[in-house]
Amino acid sequence: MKWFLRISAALTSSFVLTMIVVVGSFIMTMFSAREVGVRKFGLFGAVFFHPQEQSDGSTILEAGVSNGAPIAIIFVLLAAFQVAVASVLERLKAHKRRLQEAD
Amino acid sequence: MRRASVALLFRLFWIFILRRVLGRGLLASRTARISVLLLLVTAFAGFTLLSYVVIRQYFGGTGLLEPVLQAANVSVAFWALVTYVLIRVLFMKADELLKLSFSLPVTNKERTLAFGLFELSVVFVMMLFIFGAFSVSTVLVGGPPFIPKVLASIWFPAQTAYLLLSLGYYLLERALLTLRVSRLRSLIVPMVLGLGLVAIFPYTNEQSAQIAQSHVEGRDYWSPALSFALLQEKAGIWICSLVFLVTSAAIVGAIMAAAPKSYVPIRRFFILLPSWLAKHRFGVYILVMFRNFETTVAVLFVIIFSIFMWVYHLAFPPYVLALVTFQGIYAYSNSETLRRMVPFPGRTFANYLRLVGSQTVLLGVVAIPVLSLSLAQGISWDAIPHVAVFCLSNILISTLIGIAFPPEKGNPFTVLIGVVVTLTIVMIIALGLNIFNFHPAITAIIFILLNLLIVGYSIFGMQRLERIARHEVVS
Repeated sequence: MKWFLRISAALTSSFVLTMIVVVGSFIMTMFSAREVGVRKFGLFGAVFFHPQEQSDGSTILEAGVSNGAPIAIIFVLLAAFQVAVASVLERLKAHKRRLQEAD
Repeated sequence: MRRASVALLFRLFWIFILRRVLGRGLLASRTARISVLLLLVTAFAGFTLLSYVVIRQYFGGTGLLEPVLQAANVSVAFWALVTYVLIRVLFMKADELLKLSFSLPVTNKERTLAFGLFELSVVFVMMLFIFGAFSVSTVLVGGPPFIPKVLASIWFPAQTAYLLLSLGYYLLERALLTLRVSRLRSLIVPMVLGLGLVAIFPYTNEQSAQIAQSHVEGRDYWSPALSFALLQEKAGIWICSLVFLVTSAAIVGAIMAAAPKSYVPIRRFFILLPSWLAKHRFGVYILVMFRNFETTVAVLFVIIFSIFMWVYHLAFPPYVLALVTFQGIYAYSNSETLRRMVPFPGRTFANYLRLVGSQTVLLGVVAIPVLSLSLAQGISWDAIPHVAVFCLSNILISTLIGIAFPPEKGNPFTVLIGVVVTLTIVMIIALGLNIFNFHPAITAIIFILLNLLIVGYSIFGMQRLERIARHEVVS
């Protein structure tokens, strides 16, 4: 149960953190795209922003995810890091408890 | 009047907020406090950066910065009123905070001034979040000449608007005291403020349109809201600052004169439903949900807003119903005694269903007239399932906020941090999923999974809080 909770908490928070990274990268990419007709990429090629001029002179914006792999890697790395930190922290706490009890 | 007493009380109120608000629920842990602080600072920095990039890209070197600043200036009163409504409704329930000062040797006038200063500082922090990014970006793009312009267009009007609103509030309180209905001000004041919002919103829109039109036609535009900006332009920032200080001092004097000599407690509950409902456990939860004064205030706001939409022939899907669903924040803490004082408090899952069910009943009751008005305005039936799903999801999120950051009785500020953090996370997730541009069915599945996660965390949180209450684990 403890591991289930630890992993689900890590997955939840890494999901939120990944979303923050994706949204932040997307916003930076969007505002770095100054030229119409040029596709700009961000977050290691994961997100793109593409303003295009139509024949009637209007501009349409195409945006989205071009490659999900970097996002998936970020998600997995963040989750693994959090599980590792939580495990180490738990062991350190247990060690501290043992030391206090020994006193 | 002793200034030392006022300063001491002001300090006491802030210490109360820092210790009692930033040390409860998830925020009891130092790691969580630092994480929340980092999240808020990062969000503000990101917002400022975004604002700077947008202003530089669209207005830099175009000469449009001045009319944009004027438009922001006329909207200051509206945002000050929005912030004031929020703060006033929160402060109405701040009995715990006021009680702290009753045992101190201070007069009611000193208490009023200290409380006014405290309110002002809270409003200032909120205005910093609303206009801070815009002010910093405008100065970065426009250069140092824009510092006095931003001061005279945003910050001086914001503070004057707050002081005028405060004066209006104390005059209203005096009038209610004279009419001997002061205890009902928890009901009357939000109604007056709601009507104020309804009145000022179209005025602000009209002013912004007139500023844009004046700029296109190349003529100067003046309105009372632009007084400080005009004075700064004609006489300079020092004269403008002097006038601002004199005006503020005069209004503070008027507030002190208008403030009542004694404090009258407010009615915190309104009996709206028959007591026989208490025969069933679910009925008790419904009674708890309906009797709260915040519920009454939220329902009144929704009704006033719907009538406003009707009067101005504005047809929007009734997402305003979401205001009622925010009552979920109080659902857990307000019904806590029901689970503590009985020999068999029931299973956690059943109690969670009662909490969510009572809120759904409230939403259903308010939704009937509001949806009828919206449909009569010409909203299509297709919009209703979207509103219903949004509101139901909001109920689950609000309930989770109330469990993760439980509001303390008599200390309503405890909800603020939870609401800000949760709204930031929800908005980021919604925007992130929008970028992924999934098929609607996949997006729906993701949202269902997220809602199930919210339900799971809520039940887990309730179980943990119950174990803490039984002293089985430490918090």
